Parts: sequence; C-alpha cells; structure tokens
Amino acid sequence: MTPAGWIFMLLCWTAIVSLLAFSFSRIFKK
Amino acid sequence: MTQKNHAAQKPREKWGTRIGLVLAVAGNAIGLGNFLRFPVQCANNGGGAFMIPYIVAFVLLGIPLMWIEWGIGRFGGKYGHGTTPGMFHYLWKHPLAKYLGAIGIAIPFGLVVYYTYIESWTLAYSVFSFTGKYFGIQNHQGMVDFLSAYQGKTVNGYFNGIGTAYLFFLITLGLNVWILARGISKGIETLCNIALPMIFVFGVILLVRVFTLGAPDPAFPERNVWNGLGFIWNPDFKALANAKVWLAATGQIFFTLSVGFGAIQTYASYLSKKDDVVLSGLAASSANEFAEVILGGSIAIPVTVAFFGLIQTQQIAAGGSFDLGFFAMPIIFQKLPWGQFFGTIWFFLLFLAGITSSVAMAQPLMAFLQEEFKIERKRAALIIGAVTFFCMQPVIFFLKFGFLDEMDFWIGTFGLVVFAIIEVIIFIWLFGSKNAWKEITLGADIPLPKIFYPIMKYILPAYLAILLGCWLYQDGIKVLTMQGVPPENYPYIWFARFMLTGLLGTTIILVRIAWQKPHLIQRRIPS
Repeated sequence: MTPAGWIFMLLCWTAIVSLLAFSFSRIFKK
Repeated sequence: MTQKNHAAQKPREKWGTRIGLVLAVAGNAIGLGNFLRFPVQCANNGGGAFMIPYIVAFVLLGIPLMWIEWGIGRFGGKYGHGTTPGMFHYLWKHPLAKYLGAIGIAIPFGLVVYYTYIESWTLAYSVFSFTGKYFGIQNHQGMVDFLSAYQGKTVNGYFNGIGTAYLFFLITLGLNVWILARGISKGIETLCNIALPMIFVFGVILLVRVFTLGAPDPAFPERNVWNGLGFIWNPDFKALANAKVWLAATGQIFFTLSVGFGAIQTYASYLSKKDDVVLSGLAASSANEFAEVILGGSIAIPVTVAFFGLIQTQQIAAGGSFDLGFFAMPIIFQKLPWGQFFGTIWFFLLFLAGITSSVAMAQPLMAFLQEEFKIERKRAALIIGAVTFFCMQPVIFFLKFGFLDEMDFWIGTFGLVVFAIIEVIIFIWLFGSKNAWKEITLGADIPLPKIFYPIMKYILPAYLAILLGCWLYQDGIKVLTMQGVPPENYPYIWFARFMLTGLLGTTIILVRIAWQKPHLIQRRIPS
C-alpha cells in the first residue's frame, strides 16, 4: 500500500470511529 | 371481545430501549452489501479515490435522507400509521398521496421476495463450511459449478436437484416469519440485540485473522494483505473525473443506508413523538459505516489479493459481489488453518446481516396489515410468509433465466431512487421545509447543523434527480429494451415485470380498500 493509501485509510477509519464514539457516548449518557 | 375488536383497541407497539431501536435500524442498514458489494465497488472504481464521492454522497444524500425518513416515520406514528400511505396522507392532504405511499410498502416487500432467497444461501454455505461439504474444490470453476448445482441449475456429485436450496429457503423464511410474529420489541429488537454484537465480534475476528496473514505463499511475496488493502485504498485521482465512479459511490450509499426502502419510516413510527431522531439516525449510520468501511473493506478483498494476487482479484472483483463471496472466499477458507471455522463464521455473519435486513423490509407490510386492516400480529406474519412463499417460487425456479436480476433492477435500483424523490418532494416541498425541519429537530439530543436545511431543500432533490437520470441513461434503456438478454429468457423477464406490476397494483388496491373505511383512517387525532 502506498503512503497516500495508508493516510487515506487511517483518516477514513478515524472519522468513522470518532462518529461512532460520539453518537453512542451521547446515547449512553442520556 | 372478538379478536378483531381486541386488535383494534390495542395500543401501538413500542421499542423496548433506545439502544434497541438504534441497533434495529443499524441492522436494517447492515446487510450483505456491506461485506460483499462495498469492497467490490471500491476496488472497481478507483480504490481510495472512490471514498471521496462516497463521503460526499454520505453527507449530501445519505444522512439527510435518513433524517427525513426518521422524521416522516415518527410523524406518521403519532397518527397511528406505521407505513407511508398513512404518513403521506397526513403530510400532503391530496387523494393521490396515499397511493404514492403504496410504493413504500411494495418496494420493501418486493425486496423481501428475492433477498430472503439469497439470505438462505448464506445460511446454507455456513453449514457447508462447518461440515466441509465444498472442501476439496480448489478452483473458481469448481465453485461456480457447486453453486449452480445447489441452485438447481445443473446436477453434479454434490447436489442432484434443488431440494437442499429449497430446504434452506424454507428454514430462512420460517425464521423470518417467527421473528415478525413475535413483534417489534420481542422479535425484531431481540434479534438485533443478539445479531448486531455477533456481526461485530465475527467481523473483528475475521479482520484480525486477515491482518495477521502477511504473505501466505512465500513463493509470491507480493501477494500479501497490505497490497490487498492498497487495492482498496490507494487513491487513483484520475477516477474522480469519471462520472461512473460518482454514480457507483452514490448508489452504494443508497443501498448501504437502506434509504428509499420505506423500512426506516416504519421503524421510526414506533417512537414517541418527542423521541430524538437526529442522534439516533447518526448512531445507526455510523454503526453501518463501521461495518462497511472498516470491517467490509478489510476482509474479502485483502484476503483475496493475499491468496490469488492482484490480477486475479481484479477479475474476481469485475465479476461482482457473488464471485467474491461465493466463489473466491470458499476456496480461500480451504487454504487457511481452521478454515472450516472461519468459513462458518463468515457465512453466518452474512446470514445475520441478511436476516436483520429482511425482517426490516417485511415490517412495513406487517404494520400495514395490522393497522389498516386490523389483522392480528401472528396472523399478519403468517399471511406475509404465505405470500412471500408464493411469490418466491418463480425467483427460485426461473433464477437461470434472469428473473431475480430483473426484479433487482426495478426494485433495488430504480424503485429506491423514485421513492426517495417522492418522499423528499412530499415532506420538504409539500408539507413545507420549515415544518419538516421542525419535525426532524423536535426533541433532538444534538443540534442539527443549519447547513442541512438548504441541503435537504435544494441539493438533495437535485442530487436524486441527477442520479435517476444517469441511471436511466446508463442502464434503464438497456434493461427496458432487454439488450444482451437471450431471446429464450424474454418470457421470464416479462413475467418478472408482470409480477412487479401486480405487486404494486395489489398494494394500491389494498390502500384503496383501507381508505374506504374512513373511520379507521381518520379516527386518530394527534394529541
């Protein structure tokens, strides 16, 4: 995998995990 | 009290917990497409560059449409309607509204008719992996022949008829009916509370196995998992100039979030009128994206590259999702230590993803029969089972004549976009954008960014209209005029179209009959 591929994959993964953590943490906090 | 009166006076069902609802909506969205269709689309359309239009479509089309559907559903629920005929009736006070809503019942039920059959294959392959039935078939053509004989298209040493496929179809249909008969909380919610964690656990086990493979054959060091990930993630920015890539990414967002199906509205109708829809919709979408991009993108294609190399993987990906899932993966499991175990959980993961989607797609018709015709829940589930069984016979027996593919185009491609356009026009333009915004944001646990107001009002309908136009130009005319279809298949294609028209026509007639009982429709006054 090229460096650009790694960066792109990690960016997308980070964004999705952040969105997941944000939304579920808010749901469980209620 | 008669059974009929008892059903009429029963309060509407509710979700047991909020997390149960989120998992159910995520279960509706997470389907076979997350694990098979997404990696193939990604690999065939510019790798990492595919993700740019994918993210654009997620933000401009997927998420807004999902919130719209949650809003429509919760709005309909307060009038006691779990399906779009009743919802549209109150959103747009026009006699035509309820008939347009009939599409929101016909589409998901039409999908159930063929999706349940494909779902039954995954259950069968899970059992075949466990027993090692296909172990010994070491090449692609062998697996093609295996599936073909299983489907009853040919006869070989493994299957001498369609009996095995029929048995798994009956088991799958029976499970679907049983879950539907148990109701929203005890049936669908319980299923999703068990199935969704299992999907994630199985997915992570498979991901760890794939990531620790390295280069399985020392003679071919370039055949490794990292090159497999590169096949999906290395960006080819030239692909962004290709309209087909944008179309494929937008289509994938549509399928993966299950928008335009009519199912989200039904699930959301079981909410209370001030329950949040913004955060719940976002949570269900992010769970779906986790399953699709992180799990779905890291299993099938990387492992295929590791065992077959880049060139053969390109050919497999070009062959489509079934080539990857049913031909390539079973061969790979035979080369892996503990292959029977990994094969079993891979196909069982697909089955769980399938069943959480199929019950969601059947629920609109369930709600329609229960609410508009006052049919008791178990009886409604049995009726749906019987109608599905009847309608599925041509799908099973005419599979080789393109019957399923024809249904899939008109329902799974064309129908979804048409219905999405209709619901956006009714909710945003006819009900009024300010009313719609108020409806979506009512009781929201997080503020909805105001940028989504113009997106929902202008960009989303334009995006959908362009998508529909492009699909019609690219595939619609070809499918309509049966280009490339062998002449001997024509009668079966026409039969599929006749059945689809009959399905929609019957739903419209049922809506008309239900609305001839105004005391049933108009009695519900929102508090």
